[in-house]
Amino acid sequence: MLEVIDLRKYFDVRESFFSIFPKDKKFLLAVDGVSFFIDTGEICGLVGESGCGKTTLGKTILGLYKATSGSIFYNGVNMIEKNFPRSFRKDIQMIFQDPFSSLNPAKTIKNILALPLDTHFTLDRKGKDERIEYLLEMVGINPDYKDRYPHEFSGGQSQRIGIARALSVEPKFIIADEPISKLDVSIQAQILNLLIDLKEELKLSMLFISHDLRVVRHISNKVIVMYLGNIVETAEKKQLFDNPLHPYTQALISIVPHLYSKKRIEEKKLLEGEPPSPIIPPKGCKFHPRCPNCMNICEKDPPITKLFPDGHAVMCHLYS
Amino acid sequence: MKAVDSINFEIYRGEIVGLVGESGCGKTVTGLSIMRLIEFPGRIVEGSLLFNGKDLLKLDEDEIRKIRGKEIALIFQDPTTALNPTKTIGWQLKYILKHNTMDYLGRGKNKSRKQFLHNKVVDLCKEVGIHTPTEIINYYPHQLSGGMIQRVLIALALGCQPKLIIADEPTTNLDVTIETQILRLFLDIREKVGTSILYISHDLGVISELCERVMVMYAGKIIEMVAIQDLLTTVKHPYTKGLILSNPSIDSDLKKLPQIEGEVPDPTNYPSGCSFHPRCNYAIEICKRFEPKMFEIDKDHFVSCHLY
Repeated sequence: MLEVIDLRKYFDVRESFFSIFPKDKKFLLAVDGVSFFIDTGEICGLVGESGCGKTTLGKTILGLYKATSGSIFYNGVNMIEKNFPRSFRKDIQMIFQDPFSSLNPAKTIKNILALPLDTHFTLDRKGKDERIEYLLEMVGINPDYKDRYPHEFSGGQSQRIGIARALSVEPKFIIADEPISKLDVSIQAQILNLLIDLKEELKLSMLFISHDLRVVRHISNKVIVMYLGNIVETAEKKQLFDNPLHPYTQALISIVPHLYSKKRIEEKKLLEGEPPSPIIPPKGCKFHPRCPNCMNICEKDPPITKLFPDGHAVMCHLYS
Repeated sequence: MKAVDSINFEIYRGEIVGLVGESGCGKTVTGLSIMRLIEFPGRIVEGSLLFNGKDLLKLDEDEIRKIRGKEIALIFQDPTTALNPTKTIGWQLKYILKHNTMDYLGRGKNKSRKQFLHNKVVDLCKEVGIHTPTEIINYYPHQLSGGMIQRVLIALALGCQPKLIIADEPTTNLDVTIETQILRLFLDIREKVGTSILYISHDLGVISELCERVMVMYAGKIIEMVAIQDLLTTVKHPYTKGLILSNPSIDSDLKKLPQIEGEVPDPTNYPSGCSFHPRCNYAIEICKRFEPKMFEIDKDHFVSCHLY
């Protein structure tokens, strides 16, 4: 359904805080050659730490950022070439991370939901009202609250409204960018369950972006792991967690603190160092300075992605 | 509005205790209260705060200032706003050391004092895992990553060798790889210096791997206190159970997560009786009318719930 091929998004960084660098033209390699596909009805989890490019990737797919190069095929048609037509913009919708800043505080919920409806459909007033009430019920908000303003709702409720807005135009594909990270723990489970239910009911496909491996583990069919603008590993969920291949994935899975962990912090082997700058990434494999398995070739040549017959893909010299 | 409503707990020397709860439950206010950092219009209404035998609530401002930052240190939640943006890291570290450790500076000449301070700052940075201290001390906060700032904050807290560190969500905004490094750092500090740590967080996963004991707060009250090793096997309070179950685990493969219905209560309008009753699957009549009292259900396991 959605296929991304060698997508790149670079940002021009002309001036910077870092006075030790010359004032040349420098690029921030936010998305540095990313390729993957998502089937109809699949939830693909995209996991990575801050600065890995996952949010930029989501926005570039939607057309909110102009891609530097590469292709985005939707049902076989390259959206970049066709300049993201309205039909595409209706089919793909986004749910944002911060429920409070993604709703216009000056508009009532009714108006917030009416806007996408007006943009993509022609409904009379009665039809619109009915649709808005239907949407609110679908996400678990009392339809009588449609004349309230965003500030009158809690984080969890605002996120539900954001979901209702995304669903208002009957999309086929949802890009959810960290939809639950800013919510309380007990509400996170509610919203996660809601998304799972809606996906089943409305036959949606989803790109679920998160830094939280536990959540991605729970909701995804397939998982993509990003590091500094590249996809370092792709696999079906079970494959990834049973047999992670990339040293970064292995580190993430073993260190993430969780309730059922067999090891406490003092017993775990940690990943040292800090994520490097996406403006001057390390030479060779971008992960090599922090990699416990670093070999000579890793410092010089960037690895190529190896695709195994079962669909498991990894970008690492250990496997090429 | 009662942010914190009659809570009782103890922290022993060298212990790492977790305080877990969601937004609005009063955990940050608890941390600030221990430091007597509650500002008008809030105030501490009653109770006692015994620190090494002294009641902190009975001390005057000067005496409290000697303790605050020196014997009890606080690490704030948001690393990016906790530092002075107009001063270098080195300046801020030196300032803290100068003002809180007058005793070991002595009366040396200015030059040797400067050198002494500089060396102390460099040592402190190394202790918190800053490998290039001589560079870092010349940077301003905005030039550093979140993880690095958090290390600096911990260095500031450690500078005075406090007996107790109160860390309020210190790793919430950090990536998991950096978070685990900071958690390891807390452990190392406890090992080397014997500092007690009150670790405040909403993340049960982190608390279960770092702390020895956990206190669960809800609506201004502590509703359960238990040792971490007993948490999963002997959890009693329905809210704690709900929190545990709604945590997606790295091994879980359930279709749907068990969830706690409803919303976190508004501190200006807590429900009657037991504040958790509207969301509780086990609520009985008495829960709506009377607040349950905390009692010891097992050795060192306390819970406040009418079910028991």
